Amino acid sequence: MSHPLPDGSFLLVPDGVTALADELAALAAELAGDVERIRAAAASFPDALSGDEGWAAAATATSWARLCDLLSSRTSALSGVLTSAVAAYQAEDAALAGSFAPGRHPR
Amino acid sequence: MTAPLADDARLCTLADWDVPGAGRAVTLLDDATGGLSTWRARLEGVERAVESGDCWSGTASRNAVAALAQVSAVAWSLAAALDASLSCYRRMVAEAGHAQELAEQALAHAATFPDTAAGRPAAAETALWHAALADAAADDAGHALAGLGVVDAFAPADFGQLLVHVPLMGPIQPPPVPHTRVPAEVADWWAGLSEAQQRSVISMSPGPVGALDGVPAWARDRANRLVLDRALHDPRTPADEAVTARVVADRVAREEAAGQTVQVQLLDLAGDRVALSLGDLDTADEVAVLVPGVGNTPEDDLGRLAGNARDIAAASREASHGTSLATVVWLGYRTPDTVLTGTMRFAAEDGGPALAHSLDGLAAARTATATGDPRTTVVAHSYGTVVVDEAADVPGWLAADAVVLLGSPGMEDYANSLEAPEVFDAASPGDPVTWFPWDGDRWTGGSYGATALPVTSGMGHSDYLEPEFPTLAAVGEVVAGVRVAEPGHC
Repeated sequence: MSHPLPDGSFLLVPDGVTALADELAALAAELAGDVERIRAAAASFPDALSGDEGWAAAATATSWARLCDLLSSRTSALSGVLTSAVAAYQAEDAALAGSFAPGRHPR
Repeated sequence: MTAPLADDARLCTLADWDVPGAGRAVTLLDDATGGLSTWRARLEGVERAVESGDCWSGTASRNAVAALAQVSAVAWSLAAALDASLSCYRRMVAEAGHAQELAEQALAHAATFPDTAAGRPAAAETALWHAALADAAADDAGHALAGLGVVDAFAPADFGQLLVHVPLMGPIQPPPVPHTRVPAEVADWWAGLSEAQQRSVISMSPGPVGALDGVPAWARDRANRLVLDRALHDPRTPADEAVTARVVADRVAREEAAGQTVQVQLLDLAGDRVALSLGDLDTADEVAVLVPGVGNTPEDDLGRLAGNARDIAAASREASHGTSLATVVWLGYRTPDTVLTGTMRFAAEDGGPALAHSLDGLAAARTATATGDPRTTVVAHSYGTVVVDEAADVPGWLAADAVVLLGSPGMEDYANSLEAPEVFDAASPGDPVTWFPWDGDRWTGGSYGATALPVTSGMGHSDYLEPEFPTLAAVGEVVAGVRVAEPGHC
């Protein structure tokens, strides 16, 4: 954007980065779906095995869900960062383009 | 003194357990997380795409690569921990099953002999022992997550805290390259490595990794480029190998300068064998493998064959827009030097198994990374058709959806023996190689059973992939999967 690299060059192809962001979003969504299935499994353990065994199994499965949820959320967040990067580059480009309009001064 | 059995609430509890229900819950856990390694492979695909700089470069993109590498590392550690935890769950269900069965026996015994003074039967004691083992296994399932910071079933609060427990830095011990050469086993081995381990083994053992069928194309490419770079800069490289290395490097540079994705899939300089893919074999919807015939070498013919590969790709795109394609120049065997040696099967007997193994490797790598099964077409010219013939003789099915035979000097058996659902053939009346079955006992026309592709009488033996003749467009349609086989033919 407005802070060139030391070597003075950078590149962003909006369609390409958007496609990568979409893939990350899809991955996050798939894992979020798995989290729900894990939670369902966790809920069924105490019914199947009454006693400490069922409780321990349910608690551990809940941890599984939490760990997968952390991974899904981070992936989703990175997808959002890529999407934001594309939007920011495009907005900066549009602003620069507008500054060349008659009667305006480049920033 | 032992309490009366009928009062033993614990045994009644065990007898009431829904062990199949617990088994279903464990199966649900397995199903929900069983795809984590392929999930990670896709994530690493995104990471490599950013890292390549093709669509994004600069400081932010480098930080994105680092962040994605962290997610990959967490995913690998998580998959390993969940796998260990799952084993404990399975043990828990098995022990619970034993406990329940024995508890039922003990209760039945008590009901039959309510007044016995002999105390609890042995089944009761054993049931309680198995229940204790089930309890321990349930605890172990939780302990298996301790390495990720899970304490008393409390997971880390956020990704940053989880990351603290995942090894990201420091020296990585490269894993040994496996002894197996079975592509599916190789693919599974590779998928089980962390990204850091994968990069480490590429760096430490580029020769073996680059030659391993079953390793994903991106990794073979990186490994073979290291081999290529060393060959180019090592003054001890034998002269003939250095020439081939320069030819390959030049071809890669030219294709990439033209905007083409190139993957070096095989680089056996000592054996004078090279396979070069134009397009990404890890993601392509369609894959065409070009198998040339007599007198082709990497040194003399790589450029021309790459041109053929580009023409096939162009014809395929013309036939079916919107799909991604990779075309492989497969010089994975030493072609016969002369027409005379081309009437013998020795070279094909070496090349056939290599081709079959290579196709298996492509399929296995795609399966292990859940990147979809591409439509794979083998396009064989001249003696290359004999290589395909021998490849089909290797035990197991040929991993190809279609085979195209161009100017074949003869085949054994019939088209269906090639094991591909579709077999096409082009034999020009102007091509003397197709007049006699030099290398087999059958012509490819007529009763052979292949679907004929269009030719003209003016076509010679080297014209099948020339754009001015009709065969090339038809080959493109086969690669794209839009050309229909004739009824009664393969």
